[in-house]
Amino acid sequence: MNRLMLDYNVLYIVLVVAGLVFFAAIFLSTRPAQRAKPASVERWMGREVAWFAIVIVILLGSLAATIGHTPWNASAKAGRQLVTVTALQYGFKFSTTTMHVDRQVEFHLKSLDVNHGFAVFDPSGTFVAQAQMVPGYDTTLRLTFTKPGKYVVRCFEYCGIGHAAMVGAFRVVGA
Amino acid sequence: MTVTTYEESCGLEIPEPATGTTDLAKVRALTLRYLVVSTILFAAGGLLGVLLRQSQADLDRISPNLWYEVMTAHGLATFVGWAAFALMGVTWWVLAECGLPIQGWGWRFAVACFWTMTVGATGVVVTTLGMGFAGSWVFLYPLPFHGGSWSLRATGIFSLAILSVGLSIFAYCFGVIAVVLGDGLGARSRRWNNRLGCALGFGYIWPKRFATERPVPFPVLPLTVIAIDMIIATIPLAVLLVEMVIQSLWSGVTVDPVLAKSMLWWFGHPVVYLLLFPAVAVYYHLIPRYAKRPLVAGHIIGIGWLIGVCANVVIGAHHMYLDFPNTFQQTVNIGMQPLTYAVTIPSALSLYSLSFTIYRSDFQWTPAARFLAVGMVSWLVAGLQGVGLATIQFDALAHNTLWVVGHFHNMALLNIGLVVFASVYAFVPRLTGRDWHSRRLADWHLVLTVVGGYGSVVPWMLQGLEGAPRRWAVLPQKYESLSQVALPFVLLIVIGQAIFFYNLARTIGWRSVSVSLGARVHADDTVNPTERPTEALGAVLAATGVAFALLCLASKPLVWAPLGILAGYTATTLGTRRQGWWAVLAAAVLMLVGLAGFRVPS
Repeated sequence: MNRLMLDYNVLYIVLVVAGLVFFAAIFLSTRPAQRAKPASVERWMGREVAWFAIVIVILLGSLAATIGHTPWNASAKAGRQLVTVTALQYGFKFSTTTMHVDRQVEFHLKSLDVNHGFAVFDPSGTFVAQAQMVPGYDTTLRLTFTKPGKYVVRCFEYCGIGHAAMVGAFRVVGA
Repeated sequence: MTVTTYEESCGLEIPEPATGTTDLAKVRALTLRYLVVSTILFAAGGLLGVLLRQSQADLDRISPNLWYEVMTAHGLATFVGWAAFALMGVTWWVLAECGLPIQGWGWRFAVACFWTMTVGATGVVVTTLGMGFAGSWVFLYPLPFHGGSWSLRATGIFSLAILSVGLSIFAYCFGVIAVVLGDGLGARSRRWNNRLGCALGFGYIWPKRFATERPVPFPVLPLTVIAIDMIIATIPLAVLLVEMVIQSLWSGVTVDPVLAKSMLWWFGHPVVYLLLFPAVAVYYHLIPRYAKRPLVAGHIIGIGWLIGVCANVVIGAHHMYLDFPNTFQQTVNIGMQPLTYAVTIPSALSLYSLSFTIYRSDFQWTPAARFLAVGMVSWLVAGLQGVGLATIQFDALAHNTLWVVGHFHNMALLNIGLVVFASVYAFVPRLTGRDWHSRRLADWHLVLTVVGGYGSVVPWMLQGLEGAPRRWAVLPQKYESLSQVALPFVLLIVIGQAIFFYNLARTIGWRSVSVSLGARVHADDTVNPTERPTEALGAVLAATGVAFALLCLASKPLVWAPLGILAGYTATTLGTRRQGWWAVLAAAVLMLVGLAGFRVPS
């Protein structure tokens, strides 16, 4: 399992649990004993502005923390290996299928027919990265592999009835 | 209508719908027609979904060709044909109950919306299940022209069918705008742009400039927002569909794939809100009713929807985060993240308002209210998933995995779907003049849908967490066990919906169905049930039971026979006892024959 994906999901579960507690409190407050307590609708109406501000702050914080992490922002390193991958229903054609540990690989992703997805899984089956392969365009994806072994590539964009059979592979060897 | 419904007996104040130049009976019948046809599409689309899921779990594997045809039909039937279509119909009734009469051009567009959607849905069924079109419900260009297993003619007719759906959306939008620009809103200005501003809730921000005789009903805000946005969103899609029709005739005509993708998603994200925003209107309309107090919302909700109307229409490109062939597209992608975050603001404000409308109120937990309450929880649960997917760093790992499938089923079935059901439970008594056959069955419907729904969604998310790809007819072996774990929960959903259909059929009666499907309505027609309300539905179910029984001779008797018995038994309760029991008997006998090893040669 990808560690980053796991971290996001743990955070998500924490937020969901908090939400469930909140809704439980709201729904249980409609019991006769609870609703007998005074509740000012006007006060909660006024606090909506504060809630609006809280939401804005949370969203801006999340934006600031994550916007720099995009799949295209890896800068090119000297000595990188250039690999062209061409997709065609239903397979991937690699200019080479041997790559090296700790040496940046610059994939040039192309498609000759329809949209395909280039999704890379490491030797333990963990999802590493992905990018779209669009006909008529050359997409650059730079990755540095740290584990030697066989990497599997799966098509991640529906491309026709043979989509589930569109699998490729390459090997990463020691430096 | 003088029938006292259960909700009225709870002391709820239910407003009389506004009357205009169009007979109210016609508006009632039209709304019911939307609900009946969309429910039929839901039943069909839902069964197709079951077929997909059981095949992925290797219970009875179907061919990839059929799987992708069914996937295409399932997506369109449930998302557009059921949820969007039902909420379009509900829109007219909500507006009428908000004091805005459905008349003149509003009425004409409401009727046109119904028929163009029906034609589009029929075209989708014919081209997918009949002509083998399997380009998926997003028909990502240029795949429809490279399918291999379907013809260019199928692509052309499919494009025309979707174009008809697009026309339906236009009709809906123009209809909503025609209604809100009418006098029912109470705008003091005669100018259309000022009235439109009032309908968007500008009066909550600038009360003098956008003055109205009464506060603009809150449900009008999201409905006006989506009407404006969907006109802007649908135009490029319509152009793309026309191009696809032309290309199916003359293959030399083509379009750039990235441009086509952008046109698709320019429409493809706002169309999600074609479901969510009318659902929000239903929340705004019904939650205050059950809480017996006005919606807890101030001027800030006007600002929230102003942000919504601007952001919603431009964020489709967040579906293309993983398309980054050049700097321009990378820059657009970067811009999409804050804009997509912005569109969560109306949801965050709405959940706040709805929650504190319920808080310590004398809330009436009617069947519809329970569906809405659980729907609100799902709104938060699925909405938080949406914020994750809006984040490029997370989407780079979740994009096109089953995590996304889990997300949108969570949102579409367990939030918006529950709102559709709530609308049916709330409005059908007012539309037909008949109270629900059973409230206990409504509770079972909710419990089975929610338990089955989450039991079905969570395995998808866990599979996605491990990188399981979506839209794979046959998943890699390592993901298969979780597909099998989900199956019993899928069965719970099926049972829940069978209960719903039964309860609905017993409630509205066959005559209401026939009226809703096109029989003429007179001004004094109360669309009441008749003495033989459900026999035709029972006969259909009995025939379905026999069909399931016969499938035992083809494969998997332990799968088809229980379904046949269930359909047959349900038919016995609908006034077709003899036919129902024959179906049950046939399923039992043919199951034994099938288990003995007999198979019809294929």
